Amino acid sequence: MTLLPGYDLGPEAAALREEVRAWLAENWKPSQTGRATFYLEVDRAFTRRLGAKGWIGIGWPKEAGGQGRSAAEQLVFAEEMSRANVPIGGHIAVRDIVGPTMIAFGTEEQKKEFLPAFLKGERSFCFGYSEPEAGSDLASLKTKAVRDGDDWVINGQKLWTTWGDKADYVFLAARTDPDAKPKHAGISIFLIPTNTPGIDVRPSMAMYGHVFCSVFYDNVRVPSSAILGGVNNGWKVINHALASERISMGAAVAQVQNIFDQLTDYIRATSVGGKKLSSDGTIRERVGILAADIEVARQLAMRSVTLADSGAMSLSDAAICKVFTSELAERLAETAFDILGSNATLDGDSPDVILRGQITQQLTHAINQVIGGGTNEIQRTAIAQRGLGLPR
Amino acid sequence: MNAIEKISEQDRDLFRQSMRGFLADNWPAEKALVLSGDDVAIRKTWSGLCGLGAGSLGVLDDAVGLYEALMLMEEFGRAAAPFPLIDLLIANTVLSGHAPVEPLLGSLQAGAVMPAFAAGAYDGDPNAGALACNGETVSGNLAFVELLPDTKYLLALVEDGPRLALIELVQAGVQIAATPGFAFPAYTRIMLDSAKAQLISLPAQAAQDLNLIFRIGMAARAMGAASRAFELVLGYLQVRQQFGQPLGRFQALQHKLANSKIALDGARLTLFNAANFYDQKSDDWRVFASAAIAASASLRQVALETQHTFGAIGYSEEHEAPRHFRRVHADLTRSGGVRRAREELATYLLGSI
Repeated sequence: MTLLPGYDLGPEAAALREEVRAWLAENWKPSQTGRATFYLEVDRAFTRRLGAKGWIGIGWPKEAGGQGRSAAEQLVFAEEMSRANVPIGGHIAVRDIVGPTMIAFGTEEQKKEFLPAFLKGERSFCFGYSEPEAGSDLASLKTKAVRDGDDWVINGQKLWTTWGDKADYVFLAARTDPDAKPKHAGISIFLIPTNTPGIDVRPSMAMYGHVFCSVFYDNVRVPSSAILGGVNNGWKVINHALASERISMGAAVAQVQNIFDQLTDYIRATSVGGKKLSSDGTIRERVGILAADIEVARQLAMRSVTLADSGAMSLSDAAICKVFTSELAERLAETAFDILGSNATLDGDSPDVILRGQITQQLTHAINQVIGGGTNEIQRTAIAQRGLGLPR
Repeated sequence: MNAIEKISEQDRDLFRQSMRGFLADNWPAEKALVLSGDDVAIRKTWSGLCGLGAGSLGVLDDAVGLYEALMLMEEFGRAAAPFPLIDLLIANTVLSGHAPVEPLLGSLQAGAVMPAFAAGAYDGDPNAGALACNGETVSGNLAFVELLPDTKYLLALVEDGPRLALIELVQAGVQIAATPGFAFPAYTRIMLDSAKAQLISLPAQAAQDLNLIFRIGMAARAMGAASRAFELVLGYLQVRQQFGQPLGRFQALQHKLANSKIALDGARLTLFNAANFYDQKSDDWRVFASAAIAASASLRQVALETQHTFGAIGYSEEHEAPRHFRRVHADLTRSGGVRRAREELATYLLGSI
């Protein structure tokens, strides 16, 4: 397999790359047939093995029980996990978002209760953000929490909750001050076990072949200690949580590159009607276009890593990386359809499928990447207004 | 020594700022069209730039290298300045250490005379022409060569060898014709009939590498031109009022500008990454250079969106934007352009046909 050359991220990162590869060879034995593993699947046993190795806290500060690795090392780790196509759905939420946010905003009791369990891979989270009338405009959320003595009582509905059917806890955004102005000043974050009475999880099938959930909250009673970061301080917590996702950008690029590498490998090895696919001028042109785009995505991710290390990454820089990479993921899959034909559109366990269904998986998941975490339209507006200074 | 270890980011910023400041004083972009026809201004500005350090870029063992050259090419793109920096970088790369041409090289580095580079059979554009050697003379036609009034020497690649032919342009057997088009000043076609030349043998890979350096220089200049036009339109959106509000408040335009910003960042990062690898003497610089040139295709969209956003104001030849639009499209088409770079990437990943 000929790949685009790698970058020199320093001796520590290179050593970690070798360590991760060796560890994966011992600890991840994917099946070689049928539908390929999808990286957002939940595999609790694998998550616990990662926890035992200390890698769920790979980027957390040492005083919080983590390894305090640099952004470059975290990037290398994310790249290797993506290339190995391991299931990270059981821990990615706590590793990249909930854990760092709790370190920043949690009480000592919360840290003592949650962080050791996170590090062992023994407690998973989903996110309760979007609602029927609050998607991109998250500040308009209506799920409300009303104080009742020392407790809070929560009522409302959340939508499109990934891992809602599997997670142990939900990281829930609810309105605790209905009169707050601006609207986002009246939101709080609650950490709630998903088996709390009054929570009703209804899974439905998403385009990418995995479920997401509608979750109903009907007089769900939780103690005050379930609030993270203080009452009405949820917007700050949410923004911190989004910023914590920065290393995920490197992982997203590695996922795209992983599919691209498999595509070029297939093209090199395949002939149709006695003619090598690799000798087709149209295919070569489109491979060249994708290769250049992947190099751009890698460079944008590298910039994010560098800026993250120096604490200088802006919302606009993160948005640029997210927009380009997520839309590249769509282009890659559609180009693969054009090159490979209908066999690439078959399900992963169909008899004649190419690349074990990863192209269809890639395309449908790429849509999720474009519309999730702040749609790309929201991101472009952020680039224009916050990055370029155009008027609001 | 590793160039990157010797040059700090602060030093690079200072270099860029000094060049940008010098150009702003001596070659403001809004006067570029007039200045390009002013022999005195061209001579004075180029020799001034050489005195500031441009003349020694690429000299063997010098601390500064391709990274700084691309920075300056970007500045030339911004200023619509046609100076032969990459040509001189190639002269420095090949001629340094060749005793017979040391005096000439000194004059080139001082900016007293100007070089021009032509890749001939290595160009990638089938209409770029080629040279053939016969003893110490060369014959053939070369197209799309950038000449300025003080351009006295042509550096042309010759397939036989490969070799680099050093040709004095003022001699019998050399005819030059302008071929006006998008590029300004106009390209020229050079017809050589048994013209005298000094021929310098090159290592096997060197001809391709010199052409790749030239091509990435063109991409950097295009990036500078696209960046300058983008900044102009960004300012325009803040002040131009339509429908009772600044144009920049309209989401349709904000998103066009956001797309352009993404394209510019991608082009800039990939170009300088390739230069870093070159300066670190890594063989991988070639594939990164091809990727950067291929990625520069997005600059065309930046140039188009700039024109669309300006509307009729930017459609006027009195405006600065049209010269940047032409520069982007001319430079991205040179030497096989984007399509050739894509094929190079395909060859790297899929093998040759």
